[in-house]
Amino acid sequence: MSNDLYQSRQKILQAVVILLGIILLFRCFQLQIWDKSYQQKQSFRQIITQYPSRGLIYDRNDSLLIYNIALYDLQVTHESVRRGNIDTLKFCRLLGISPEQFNVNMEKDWSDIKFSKRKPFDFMTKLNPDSFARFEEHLFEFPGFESIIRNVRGYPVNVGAHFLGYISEVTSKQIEKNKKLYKQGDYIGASGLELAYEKQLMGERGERHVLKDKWGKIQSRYKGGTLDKSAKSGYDLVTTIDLSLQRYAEILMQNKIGAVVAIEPSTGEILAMVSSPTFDPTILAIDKNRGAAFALLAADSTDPLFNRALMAQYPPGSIFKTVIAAIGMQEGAIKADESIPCPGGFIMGNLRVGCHGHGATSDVSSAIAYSCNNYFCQTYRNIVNLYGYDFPEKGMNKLIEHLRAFGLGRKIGVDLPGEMSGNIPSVAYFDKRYGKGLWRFSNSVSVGIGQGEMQITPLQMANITAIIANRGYYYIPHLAKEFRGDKSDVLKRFKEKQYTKVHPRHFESIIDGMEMVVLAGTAINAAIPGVSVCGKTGTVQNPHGIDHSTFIAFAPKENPKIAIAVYVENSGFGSTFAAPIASLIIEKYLRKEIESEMRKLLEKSMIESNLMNKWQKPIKKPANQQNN
Amino acid sequence: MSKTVRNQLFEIKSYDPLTIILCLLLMLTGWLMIFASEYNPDTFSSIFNFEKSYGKQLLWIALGLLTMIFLQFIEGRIYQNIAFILLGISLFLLLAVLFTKPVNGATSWFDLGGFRFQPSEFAKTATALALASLLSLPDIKMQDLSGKTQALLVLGVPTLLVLLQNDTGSTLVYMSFFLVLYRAGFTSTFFLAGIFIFFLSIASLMFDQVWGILHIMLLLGNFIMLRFWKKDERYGLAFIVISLIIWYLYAASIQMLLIIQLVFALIFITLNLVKRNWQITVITTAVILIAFIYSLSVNYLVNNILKEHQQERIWVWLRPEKCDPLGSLYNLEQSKYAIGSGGYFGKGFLEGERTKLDYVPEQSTDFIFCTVGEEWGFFGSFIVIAMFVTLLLRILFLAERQRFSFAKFYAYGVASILLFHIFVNIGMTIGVLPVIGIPLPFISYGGSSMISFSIMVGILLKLDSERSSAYR
Repeated sequence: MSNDLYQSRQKILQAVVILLGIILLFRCFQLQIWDKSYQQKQSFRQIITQYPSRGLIYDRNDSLLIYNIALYDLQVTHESVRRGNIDTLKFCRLLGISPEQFNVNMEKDWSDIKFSKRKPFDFMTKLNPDSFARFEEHLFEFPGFESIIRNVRGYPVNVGAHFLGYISEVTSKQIEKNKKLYKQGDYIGASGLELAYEKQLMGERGERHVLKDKWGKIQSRYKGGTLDKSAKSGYDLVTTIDLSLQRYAEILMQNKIGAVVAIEPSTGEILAMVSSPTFDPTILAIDKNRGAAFALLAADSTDPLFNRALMAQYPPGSIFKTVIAAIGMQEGAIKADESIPCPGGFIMGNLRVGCHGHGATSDVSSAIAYSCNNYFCQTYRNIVNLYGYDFPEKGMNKLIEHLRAFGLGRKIGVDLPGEMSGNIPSVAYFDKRYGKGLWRFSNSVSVGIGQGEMQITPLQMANITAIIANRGYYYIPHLAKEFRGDKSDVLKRFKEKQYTKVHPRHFESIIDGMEMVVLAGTAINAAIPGVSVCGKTGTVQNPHGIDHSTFIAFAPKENPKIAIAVYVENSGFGSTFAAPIASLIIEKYLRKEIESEMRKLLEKSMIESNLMNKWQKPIKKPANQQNN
Repeated sequence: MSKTVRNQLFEIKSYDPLTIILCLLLMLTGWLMIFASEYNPDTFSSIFNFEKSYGKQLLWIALGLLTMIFLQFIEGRIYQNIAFILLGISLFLLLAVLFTKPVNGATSWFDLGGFRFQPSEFAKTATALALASLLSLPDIKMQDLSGKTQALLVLGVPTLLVLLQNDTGSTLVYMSFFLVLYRAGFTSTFFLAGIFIFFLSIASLMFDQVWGILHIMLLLGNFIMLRFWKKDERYGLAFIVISLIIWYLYAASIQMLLIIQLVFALIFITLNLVKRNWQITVITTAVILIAFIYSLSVNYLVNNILKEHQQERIWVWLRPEKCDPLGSLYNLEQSKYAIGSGGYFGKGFLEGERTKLDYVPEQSTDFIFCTVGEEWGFFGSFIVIAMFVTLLLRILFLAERQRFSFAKFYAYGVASILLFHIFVNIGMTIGVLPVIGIPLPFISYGGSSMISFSIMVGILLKLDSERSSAYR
């Protein structure tokens, strides 16, 4: 066969055979002799997850609000147990289960790929430390079983359920989204701060690589522990909440339905946030009874799971007059010393917004003090008609621009999930309702007194109050003061001043008016001897029942330390419940206690009064608000 | 009749004893390993317990040997004539099997009352015969386009039919026939490119893009360089293959190689610029560009074209650090632990608890090498691999001593198939290659593979025994 041109290629092919053989031998040599990590006789490698402890949550004065409790999950590897020949009866006795239960827990549907006889699966979960301790001493007798510590939440004080939120087992959807972060059985923040700051609080899972013998006992660390990662606990969260104030506000609000939000105007820090009715956060802590407790809360007609402080959208009523006054003065729709006589209401043709008898409204201050409906309907008219009677869109847009700067009609950006934006009038809405160019200010005059299309949340009310107290700016209200040890800038946005479009000087007459409200106007029972409180009442007409009462206030007048909004559903005049509750909270915050005997009586009557029987479930109107 | 028998007896001397002994030893080893992986002192009754796989394997070995002996009564030269008929029958069976009920997602088996018959096993032998028959035709030259086309057609049709069965392992086995084509004179550039694409794919999948592409481009530069060097093709090939293998095994010391490649590439580019060799520059650029696009798209291809379990196997192979040690990585890790735990001399026969306690999957079929590694240690692995390498080299030797090119190319075909099976099967258990479910010849449990390899080697032995008689 001399015509074979490719004789030389036989050598190459022989070389290939030898080379591939050498590769195989080399790898065998590596595995069997060189690399010691694969040679541990009778051992196999396993990764043990180290669960980090979740960040704790404190109030502003370092009182603990949430701590961690260890619960145990017991996992089992079916095959190891089968081989291990354990004393099942002793096992059951120690755990307090019946042998039948043991068998049920051991046998899974093996055709399901989720389960394998050689991989650990949950045998029992959420065992509490007391009952588990006894068992754990004997754990070594039961090869194939291993315990996993899980941190769940404990609550030293039963306050703030709404903003603290709760954690729950991660859903398969969430795992799908974030495969690296979560595994089946992990816990994740489900609401409130737990959800909002999940990333900071959760910490980082660690891993321990170990070698186990065939019975599942840990023999040694894999590769001397070089691959191990220790768990990093989550950052501890210091909140802006003042625990004693929060507790006090919750006591005042008991048996009433509504919300309280108190803010420190100079920082935007939320001192207290109450949504009533509230519930004990402990009942939603992870344990066996959680499901039933949750169902009970969800079924309650008063909706205790609903955080009214930032989700309930109420018509603001008269407290909104302060905002209209500020915008009116800024736009020149009204002057601070402008006198508008009140003929007992705002009357125009057959349009009539009634007013109540009050003293002369010779300027903005007295109009606020007496809460004159006519005065602010006129102001509203002047604002909408800024560019002429026939061009209300332009005036309306101006108004909307201002309102949004006041944090109305949009989410302010508080660090809690579920915040609602409320509702403010919009040109598009009126165009749709009345036809383009077919509407005038008179179609919406009740907006001027905080009724009609206006809807705002208690948080927004408190924020308006802070704006007035600050004379024109605010910080985004927030609950997170500091993450201990965190160097990221998640909280940076709360350090920036947010300006409104109203000049500081226009607020002085409003503040004077608010002071008069408390001294001689509609909220005399909110006065605190020795403290200059500025406030504004609101009584919100409720076509479905008793009016809602609302009150915003800040104090002291010159150097405001606290701005507060109180909203009590179905409680009548603003002065009857909302104003006293607000003033008690203010005094408590400024003085740590209620001083005068008279006010102690007031405190007692507020705590004891029960409005639950007057409460009516609001009829849900079809949403006519725009969300933005 | 008596004449034939005497003739056979006489010709026994012309059989190659080494091949026969190696095959018998491998069968024995295989049976011992199957016995070890299934043996349980509590239930053991007899090695002839046909309920157990070691009992059944005894049957398969006997059947295999009988087949081999039977084949010696058929005159070897007729294969050259009936090769295409055999291929035709195989193709028919491959087509027919597509209409059976799928087992584990693959339509590869005829179910003949408890015994499953896999036509693709036998189609390998038929293809090897047909290819050899084609290549031995006097007017077929691998240098010609028509020669290439016909050879690729003979290979391509059965490959395509096996691919349709959804049997990736068997499909890849057909790739090994390219070694036969190489020996027959198929353009070597094609093979260099093939090796290159293989490593290019690995590189692109193994490294994060920037690094991978950098390497790929430099390696490619070297490859083209060596092609144009052309002084001696073999040294070029050897250099590339060796450097790629070193590189793959020692991915850690990659920077070293990078520097060497960089130096080579710079010298080459400078030389060409000085010579104003524009053609080479253009080709170089084009090839680098194609490689660049390919390396970018290979990740996409793996993630979108391959099925999920196939993707998983690739990531387990190339990116074990990214896989879940208790999920996709579990089987391979257990396999490595079983082999690694053997140490120098292993734990002893029947003492391999990792394989016996079911930590290793498929421990008597695809992962049988784990038992070898665990019970007999590196010593055992060495012996088994050495036996296989000796067998392969012996077959290559047999091939070259043939006077008929039909027998020669058939021997190459057998060697190629065996080489592929051996390298891929052992390679996957130790993590050199991804998990591809093909048996280890003569060792893995299973009737189809035992009989098919017996036929393959039986025909080879017959052809070899007739090598001298041809001229008589």
